[in-house]
Amino acid sequence: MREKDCKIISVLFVLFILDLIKPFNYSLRAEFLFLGIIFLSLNYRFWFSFVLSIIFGYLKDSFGLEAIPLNLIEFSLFSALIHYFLLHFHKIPVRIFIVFAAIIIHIVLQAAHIRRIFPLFSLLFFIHSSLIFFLINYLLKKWIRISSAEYI
Amino acid sequence: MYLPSKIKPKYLVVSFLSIFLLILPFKKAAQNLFVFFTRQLVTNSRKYLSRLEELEKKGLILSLQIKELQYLKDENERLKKALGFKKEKKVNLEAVKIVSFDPSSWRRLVTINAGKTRGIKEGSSAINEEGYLLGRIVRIENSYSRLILIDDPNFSLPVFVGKSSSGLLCGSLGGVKIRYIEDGDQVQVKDKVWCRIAAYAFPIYIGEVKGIRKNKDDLFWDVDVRLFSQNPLLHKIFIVK
Repeated sequence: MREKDCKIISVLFVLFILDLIKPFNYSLRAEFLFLGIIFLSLNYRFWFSFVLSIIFGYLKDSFGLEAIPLNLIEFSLFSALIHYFLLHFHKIPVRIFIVFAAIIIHIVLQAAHIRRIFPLFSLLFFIHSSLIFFLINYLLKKWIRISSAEYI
Repeated sequence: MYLPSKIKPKYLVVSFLSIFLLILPFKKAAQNLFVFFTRQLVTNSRKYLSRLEELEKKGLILSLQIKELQYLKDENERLKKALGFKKEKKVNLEAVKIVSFDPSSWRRLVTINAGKTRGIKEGSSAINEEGYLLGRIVRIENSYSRLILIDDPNFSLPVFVGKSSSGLLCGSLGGVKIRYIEDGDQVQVKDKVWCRIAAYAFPIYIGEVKGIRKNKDDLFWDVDVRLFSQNPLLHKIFIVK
């Protein structure tokens, strides 16, 4: 396994732990693992990101109370769809659009799952998640040494 | 010869008669004197008598009231038994700590470090150190449990508002609302929202009314609540056993 693969796996574990301990309690409305999966799908090869999405989706579901493995299905679908888009579109604005679309679809899926809509919470979630994703993207690309055009 | 034994009785009778005859004209005076002194005695004793009567009356009233209260207490016990109420008992609490949160932002679930081995049961209520409701146990294992917080979207609880209203408290990610209130005009801002735990008679406070509203076509009122316990991380958690 390459060094970059080990780094991203450790990063995903750290993001999962951050989701569990919630250092900012509920004032920060973002899911770090979900944003890590988006980063993984945008910057790594398909099978590697797909398998990791399934593993971490299952891990997240095992810490919840839900009967349906929503995160497992969601993460693997996102991984597949993002790779499908990247086959046809490679430019940076498309990547930004994919990030925003993924966050919005995640909000819609969660709202449908709990059968209630929280407009203010959803808006705050979108804003916080977008900002944190770009922060994670900037920091991880420096650490993992991924260039803009590179697709691992 | 002088015989005193024979003469003495005669003299005694005579002397008594003479005294009596002497006193006779002064009989009235003597009577007046007698009445005067006895009146003083009777007047003072009348005061004490009336005071005594008053005290006796009060004592009797108090003893009757005690009997009435005793009767009411017995009746209360009988009615409680008849309605199946549990006897009041001392509160039994278990201090716990949060181990982790649910990874989803759409849920307000926490894992605590106590389970069946520490006597925790499903449905037990969780309160903070000030006695305000934090949530309820939804799943237990041997050494840990899952606690749903009061502002989780899937949390619901029948609650009382103020003195006479009641409704269903529903969590809504960061806040709570009370739905299905019929008499919303009886509800006022700053009315306390509270609930009761089955085993105990005391109320558990949750928050206070922040706002009341009703849409035109709705049958019920909706009430916004300001929670007394906002942030579980800043509070100690106790499970009511």
